[in-house]
Amino acid sequence: MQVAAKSNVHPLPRRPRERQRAGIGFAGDRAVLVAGLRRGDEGAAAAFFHEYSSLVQRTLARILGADPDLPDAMQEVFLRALRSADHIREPQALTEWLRRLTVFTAMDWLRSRRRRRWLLLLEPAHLHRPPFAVVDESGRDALRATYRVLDRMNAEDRTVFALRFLDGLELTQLADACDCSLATVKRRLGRARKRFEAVAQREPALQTWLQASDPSEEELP
Amino acid sequence: MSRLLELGRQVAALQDSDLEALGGTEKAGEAFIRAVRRQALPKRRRSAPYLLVAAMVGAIAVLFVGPASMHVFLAPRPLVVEPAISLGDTIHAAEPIPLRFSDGSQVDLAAGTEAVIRELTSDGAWVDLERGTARVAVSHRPRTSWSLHAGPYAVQVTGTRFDLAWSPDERRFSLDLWEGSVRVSSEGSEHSAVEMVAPERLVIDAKGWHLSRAGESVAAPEPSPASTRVAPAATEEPHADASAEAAPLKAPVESWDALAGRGDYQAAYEAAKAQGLGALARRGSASQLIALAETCRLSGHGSEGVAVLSRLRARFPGTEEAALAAFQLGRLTGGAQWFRTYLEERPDGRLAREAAGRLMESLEQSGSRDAARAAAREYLVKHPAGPHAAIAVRILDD
Repeated sequence: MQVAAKSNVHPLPRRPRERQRAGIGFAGDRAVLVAGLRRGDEGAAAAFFHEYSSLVQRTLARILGADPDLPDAMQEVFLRALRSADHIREPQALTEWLRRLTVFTAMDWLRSRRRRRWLLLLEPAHLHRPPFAVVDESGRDALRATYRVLDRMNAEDRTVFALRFLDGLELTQLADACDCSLATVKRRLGRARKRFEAVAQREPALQTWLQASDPSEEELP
Repeated sequence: MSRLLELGRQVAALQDSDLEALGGTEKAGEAFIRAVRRQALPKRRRSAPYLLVAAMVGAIAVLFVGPASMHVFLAPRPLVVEPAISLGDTIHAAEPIPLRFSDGSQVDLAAGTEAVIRELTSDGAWVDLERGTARVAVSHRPRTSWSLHAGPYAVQVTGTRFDLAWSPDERRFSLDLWEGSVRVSSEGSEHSAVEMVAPERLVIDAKGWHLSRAGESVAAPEPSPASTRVAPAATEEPHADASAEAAPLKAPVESWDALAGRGDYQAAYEAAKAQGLGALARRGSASQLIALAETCRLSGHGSEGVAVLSRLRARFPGTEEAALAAFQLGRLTGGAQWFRTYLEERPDGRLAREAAGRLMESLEQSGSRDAARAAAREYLVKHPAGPHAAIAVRILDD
């Protein structure tokens, strides 16, 4: 048998501490931040998480509601971001890119929740426990009722409705977040709104909002 | 301003205050940083220095504690290979070389083969096949983690026997699986992966990924047997889905289960159909078949879901998944016998109450009045406050 000298075909990667020592300033420079993420730099990862965790958490909460798995969904978003860091074409549009990723993760989460419900034969309530003690105040009835209605909508309609009416995104932002055209997002939003208003008729806590809601006030088609 | 926008603002404000009180971002943050660390330093590449440290710790422990108590400190020991080869060295096999590992596994390198042992752990090894052919026999143990890499392809093994060939010049990979199962994936492409179950053969070349029934085994590996091997043997059982044997796999696109995971059931169904539903049903795991049947159902192809579930029951009799398949067959076909089957197989199962209720309903709908009444009586005895109790009472009152 012939055994050659040490091979250098697959050089071992540098250790994380060495990577960290390489030192990069990330504040404000998204291109550098993205480059750091791609290299697996812990400092870049920490800066990325610090800067965007609120956006991700808020967006997920708007779409999913008081889901006990919210932290898991958030973790999933950041892990997906890490796996996809090589595909970020415009680092300066990092916020928009991450919001899109969050929206698609939330939609996957909704669909998977629906599948689990089918497989386990659970009622929505079993899968939608609030992770914190709910104080019975007047506004909270509306909050709970809103998500009961959203639970009866499909993932696409629910998402556009939540991002538009709960998160307050403008239509162009909404189209970008859902990765579709303005015309498509208007169509989806119109459908979602109709569905919401129809189902919400059964929710006493939402009657005030429905009675005063006039479609002509909206910028929708 | 729209009243809905106003409602949304109020809901969002309450949510924000809840989120502030809830916190919970730490878990996601820690997991993210851990993932970054793993990405920066893949576990399987840290062999040499870590083994050295482990050896030093072991030596010190022997000195201070004594060999009798060593198992407490050094329970998992890395495998040993004979003949002794240093990690990272390239083995040029001028003649056939058998590599024997201390877990009973063996890798026979054919003449002209070049390979590198990258890592040895207590559960397995990581071997790079640089070029040539290797016959691999991995001993199955409760925890087995063996991987072989050939070019951009990785073969994950738990316990099996196969021949692997890689030609870097032709960029041609071939794997003839004789026993067990393996997963072949392509590095850098998350969704390019194939689960193989013996006897199968996978060839990846410029034309794509081709999966077929493996041919007859050869006595010993030769420099490039992949180019001479023929598939499939004439005496073998014919495939129910013959189109899947010769058809190239569209593996490098996106797998059906990844699409199903994203909720795109129509695309998942199309992808699964392109691979051959019959072939998938033959080689998938029980949980994969449950998911495949679900994909069929949700994409509007219930009858194919029934076929998948039936195959699952044939392949995995007596398992939890087989019982669940019976229940789902009842839901898809409305056949009372499937609910009865579930109850026979899992009388105290998680779905027993639901199955008992649906059995009663199915019998009533099929006009089996006496059987429905008997099922209703039984239901009320076992589940007097169950969700089908009112229906049971009505059936008995009619």
